[in-house]
Amino acid sequence: MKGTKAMSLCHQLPNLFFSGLVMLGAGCAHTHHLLELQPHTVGPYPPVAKSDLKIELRITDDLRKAQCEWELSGETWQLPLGPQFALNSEALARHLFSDVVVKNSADAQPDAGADAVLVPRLVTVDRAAGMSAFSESKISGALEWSLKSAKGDIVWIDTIKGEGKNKTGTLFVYKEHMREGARMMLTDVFNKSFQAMSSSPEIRDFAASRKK
Amino acid sequence: MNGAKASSVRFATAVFVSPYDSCCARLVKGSTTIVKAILVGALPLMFAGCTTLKLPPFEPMPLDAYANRQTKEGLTIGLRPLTDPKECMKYFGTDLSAKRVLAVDVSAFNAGPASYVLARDKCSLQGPILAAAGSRVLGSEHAGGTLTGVGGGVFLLSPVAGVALFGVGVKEGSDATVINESYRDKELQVHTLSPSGAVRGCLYFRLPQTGTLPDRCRLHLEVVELKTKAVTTFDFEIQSH
Repeated sequence: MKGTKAMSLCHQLPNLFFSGLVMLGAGCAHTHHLLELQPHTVGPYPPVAKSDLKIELRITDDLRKAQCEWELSGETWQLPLGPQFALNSEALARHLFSDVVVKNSADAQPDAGADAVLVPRLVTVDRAAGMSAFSESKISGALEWSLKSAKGDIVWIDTIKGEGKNKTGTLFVYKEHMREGARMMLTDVFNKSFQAMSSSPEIRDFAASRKK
Repeated sequence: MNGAKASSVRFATAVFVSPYDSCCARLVKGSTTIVKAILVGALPLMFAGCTTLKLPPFEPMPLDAYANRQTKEGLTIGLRPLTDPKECMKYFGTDLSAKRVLAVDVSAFNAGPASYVLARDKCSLQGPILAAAGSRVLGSEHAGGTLTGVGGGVFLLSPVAGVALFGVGVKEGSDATVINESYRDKELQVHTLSPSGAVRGCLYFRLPQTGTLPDRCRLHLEVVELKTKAVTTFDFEIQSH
């Protein structure tokens, strides 16, 4: 009987060997994973009186191509977030200002008639990976907004931080959890951006001064 | 003591007794005993590796509590170099001074009627030092990859030890992402300080990698008033390590 049990264990050796190979491969192979994110529009924002300003919103290629990238145990993960930041920056600007023109370059001279130039710049985007499927993972991002007059003087500048936290998730759902975390972070960043811009006395004073 | 003796006896029994077992079976039985022994030793390691590193945000601290503070034009700035290794471990998960990085906790409150910008690029550490530290200088996100791989390799020889090492590798990688995220999250960013507005964050400075550090150095900050563009400077004498 003992011999039979031992022999059955002996037969398991190839399986153990194979499992070891899989783990060795998982640890050593450097693979890239691209996580696509469907367009995610934050909002609707609370209704607010639009600032009577003609704004040039400069959405640079740096912002459009921004992505969250992290490595964990030899695996590289890429989560393209630039399109989401670009989409939501425009939506927010149109919600807050009466006239918005979107341009690509951050440094070009503004058109005649433009009151100000609004530039969103992604400062950081990071992911803190949870240790297990049931532990918490976090995606955080910081978006810097600068509003400059047509002459180039800073009217208002601020850096808005946001985060998305959720469970890391099992093998079957972890990708969707990563996407959900990213959507939560975007929502947080743009809701806080809305609060900051709509309540800024500097932007309000500037808009009032342009009316005179 | 008794446990250790019993274990060694069982090991000997598994290998040398049972004359009717095949040679292979004896080997396997011996292996399972070794595996059990390793399992007992590896369990604490495996459990320790199952929790994600938690790094708290800074505790709220009134400006009056900053020993180093100045007020100009209604704007008060207080700062505190984080030189205590225990405090660094608590908030950053690593001893920054050992990595030759000086973190300075900066807090500002605007009680005046004007608006200001505290520009990070105007902040400098003066003395026989330094340059501003870039981001991602702490944990390496590559951390863990090697151990995870080694864990896989060791699994071929000993499944339990392999799983334990694999877990440690993943833990190390997870910790690195948490440390980096926390480091950047606590960094002082550019803000407009509106009337009654407050900001708080860390400035990081890379100290020279070799040589003796001076005990004290000067931290220079510049604040720009938005309407007049007038520059107000703040200079602090701080402990550097």
